[in-house]
Amino acid sequence: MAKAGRERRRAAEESQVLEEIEFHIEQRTESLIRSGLSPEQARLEAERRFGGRENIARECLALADRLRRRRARSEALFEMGRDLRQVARGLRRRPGFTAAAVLILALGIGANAAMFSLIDAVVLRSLPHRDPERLVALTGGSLAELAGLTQRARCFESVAAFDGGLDLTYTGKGEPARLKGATVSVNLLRMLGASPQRGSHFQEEDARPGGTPKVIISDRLWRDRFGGREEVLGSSVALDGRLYAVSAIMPAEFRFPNEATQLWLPLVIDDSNQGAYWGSYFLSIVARLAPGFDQASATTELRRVFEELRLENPIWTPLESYSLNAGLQGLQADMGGNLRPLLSLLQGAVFTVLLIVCVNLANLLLARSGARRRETAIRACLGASRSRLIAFLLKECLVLAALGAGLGLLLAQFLTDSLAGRIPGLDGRYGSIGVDLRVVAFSAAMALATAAAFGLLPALRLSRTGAIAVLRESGRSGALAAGRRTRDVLVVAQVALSVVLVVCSGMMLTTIWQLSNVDPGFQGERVLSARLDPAEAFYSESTARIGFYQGVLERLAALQDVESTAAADVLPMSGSVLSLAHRVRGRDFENGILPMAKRRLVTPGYFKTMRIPLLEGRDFVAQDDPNRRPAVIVNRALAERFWPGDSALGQAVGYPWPSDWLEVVGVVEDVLLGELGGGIEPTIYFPYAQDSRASMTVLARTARDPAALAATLRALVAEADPQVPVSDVRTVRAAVIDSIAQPRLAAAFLSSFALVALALGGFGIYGVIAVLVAQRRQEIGVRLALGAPPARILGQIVIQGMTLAGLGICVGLAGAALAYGWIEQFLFDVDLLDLRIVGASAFLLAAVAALASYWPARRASRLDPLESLRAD
Amino acid sequence: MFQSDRHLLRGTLDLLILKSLSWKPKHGYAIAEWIESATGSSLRIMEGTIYPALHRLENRGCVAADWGVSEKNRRAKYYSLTPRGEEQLLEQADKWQRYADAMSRAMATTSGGAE
Repeated sequence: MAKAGRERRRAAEESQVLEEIEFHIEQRTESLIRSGLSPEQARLEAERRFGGRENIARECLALADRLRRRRARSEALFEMGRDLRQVARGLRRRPGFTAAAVLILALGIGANAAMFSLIDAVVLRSLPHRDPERLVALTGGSLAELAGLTQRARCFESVAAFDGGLDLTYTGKGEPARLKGATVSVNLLRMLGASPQRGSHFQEEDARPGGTPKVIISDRLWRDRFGGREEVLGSSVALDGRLYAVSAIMPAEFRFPNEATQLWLPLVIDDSNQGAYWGSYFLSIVARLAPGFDQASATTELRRVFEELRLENPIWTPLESYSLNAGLQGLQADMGGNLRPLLSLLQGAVFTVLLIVCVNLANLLLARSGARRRETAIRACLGASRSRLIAFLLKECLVLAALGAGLGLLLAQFLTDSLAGRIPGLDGRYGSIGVDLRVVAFSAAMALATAAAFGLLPALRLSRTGAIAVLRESGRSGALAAGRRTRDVLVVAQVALSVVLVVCSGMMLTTIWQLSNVDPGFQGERVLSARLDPAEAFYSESTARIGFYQGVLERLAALQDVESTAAADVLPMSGSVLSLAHRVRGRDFENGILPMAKRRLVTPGYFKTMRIPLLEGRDFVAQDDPNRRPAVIVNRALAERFWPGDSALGQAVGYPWPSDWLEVVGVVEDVLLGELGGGIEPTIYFPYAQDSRASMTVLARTARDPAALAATLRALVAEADPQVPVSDVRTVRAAVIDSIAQPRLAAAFLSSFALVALALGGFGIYGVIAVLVAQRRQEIGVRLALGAPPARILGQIVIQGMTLAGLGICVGLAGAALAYGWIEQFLFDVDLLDLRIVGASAFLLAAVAALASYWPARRASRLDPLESLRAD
Repeated sequence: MFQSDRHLLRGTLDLLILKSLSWKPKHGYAIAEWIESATGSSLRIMEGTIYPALHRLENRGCVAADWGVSEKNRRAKYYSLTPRGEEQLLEQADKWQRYADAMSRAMATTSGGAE
């Protein structure tokens, strides 16, 4: 339409230009005839004097075109400016409404922008590697598998592995420091497409045992610890007491496997210990797909190689599922994997909040449309077209949304700043999290969408009303009836959405409650723990290690208030516990498949300190050292599985390779190792003195507040050896609580969203009832004047509000049942039909609804009949 | 006229048009006639070039155009000076005057300056 109009205007202009030129030439011709030329000569001379007609016409048209376009632009700008000024005036006139709307919008958009920032970083943005979509993460994790895949799998251009859990003690200038690092295949960095900023990659020979140890360091470590000096390259640094030559410095933007990684050591392929070579699963294997292979075809090939490896395994023969379950997935999906469900849950929650915000605002605007109807009708009478009216009304929404988005971005920045560090598993591997251009663009789109969502309905409704009819109406009474039904529906929707959020957060809170009440099998409230990491090099002798811990524990035990002390390799629920296949004396297993058991190292006194009941036999004693017969303590689950119906005492287990039998000297009660809400696993405890290692966690049970002991503990370790770093000083209970950080975070989020939803829901009901009361002022006045008891009027109005709420609650509970399928994976021991949660949620909403309808109702019941009748 | 100084010519034409309109609104042909008589026919221009110049002046807001009826009862487009055009006329005329004075003074000088 606009185009046709343009064509028409252009044609008109052209004929005008031609007319003007023709006029000029005719005038000139006449003048020349008067001076004596013949008409033909005169015409020719006139045209000659005029010059190139076509060129001039074209030039004039182009100039006219430009003018017209400029005028249209400035007109649109002018109109926009005028509308915006009008909108601003209107909004300033209602500061309460404006502030409420902007705040609500900021909340909705801000929460969504913050969540988008997280999801963008974790899921959407591609990994900062070369051709990241060709990188895959594989199952498996032993050196044998790495070697097998490297040699045989044609589907991969290259295969590499890493172990991100490297923790080394740096000693040199200044305090000893714990450095986080990763052991990586010598080809890994190259496979990812990374190049050092200085120095060179690891070489093939670095993977062979016995070479000079090399290390590649991160840009941050280089700057922080070595002052960014060039000489560092090639020099030696002491890690765990061993000297490493710095062979390269990576660029600042390289973070693998995560941001915390400060150094990389070459993975040494050592097959001299076949048991460890085949049986120790400590690697994460990654690969780059070869050209011509996709994930599906590579999986087939992968399974073929795993099947070969299964049959070749000289140590034991794994089950067939070993190769059947082999698989791969994109590296990105793999890395964000454990966060995805949490993020999508939170995204769902913030989106629901935004929906509620939109519904709420639509309702607010509809409530105001009563007053707006006259204004709009007058504009319509003055000649404003319907599209012009809608455009104006939408502009108001856009201004609100833009203000809301601006404020929301501030909120998002604040949220991401305070959140990014607190989501477990969300480390800097994903790059920066915060408000950037992408987030701003997202928020702008969000503002547009919300403005349309909450503005369109009221705008359409308002612009449709017959102008004359509205102007003829007396006052506002009739006007308000128009949006009634729509508003009721919106309130019901709002309450329903709130119910969904409230029920979900109720389930999440119940989960946290259940989890923190799970009996882990030990009592950690009064037990202080601290991780000590003596450098392997200085404590390579087991006697040195044992002596060190003995010294620390003795000093600790000598303190006042300390009831008992012990050390253990890891705390339950705060670190991975090694699983190992074990032989059992006197028993053969089908296919030679040995049962797996968790393996823990503890000192005497561990069970007493942790209050883990000893069921049979004895605790370890100091004499369980290398000079005495190897002894182990097993948990009840293991005893029942290995020797059902028999006493475990005097039985023996062994390593999978030929070695001495380990005699069972005691049986202890089961404790949770993995996570709260997880299962019990067969566990074997080894006496520290017979199987020592350098890094241990020391424990002290205290009579009073364990936190008071923290400083003393640090001082005491420093006294024993100032070179030993102390970390993770906390109570065992705190460590347990830390292990449920993810569900706790989800619960905290959901319940704050639920609170917002409740508040908005109440606000919505209040709005509807308040308008209802205003609308029926006259009627209520008449009834009061005729002697109706105020209490009855109050009751009737409250019932109206409660009816809406009741409907909303029913719809919401149905919605919650749908949402249950989604959040189920985060729940522990919570049933969909848990009547306490459902009942409490419904009650909460009903209470809010009652309160929200009570206020306007009370005002109605206290109306002065005379005044209300005079009002119009 | 100096064929080479087109810029000068264009500025001159604009100025002449503005001047021609300073008494009353005129149509294009009347403007051409005025220029012819006012310059004593010594400034020969292609008459057609007046029209693009008029459009440019219109775009710059110096003149306004309106359709009217000519002396001989024919439809013609009349141009009139806007306030902005008047301002321009004063300013440009003054500038032109000083330029012309300087030029004629220079041309009239007989001395070749200090050796």
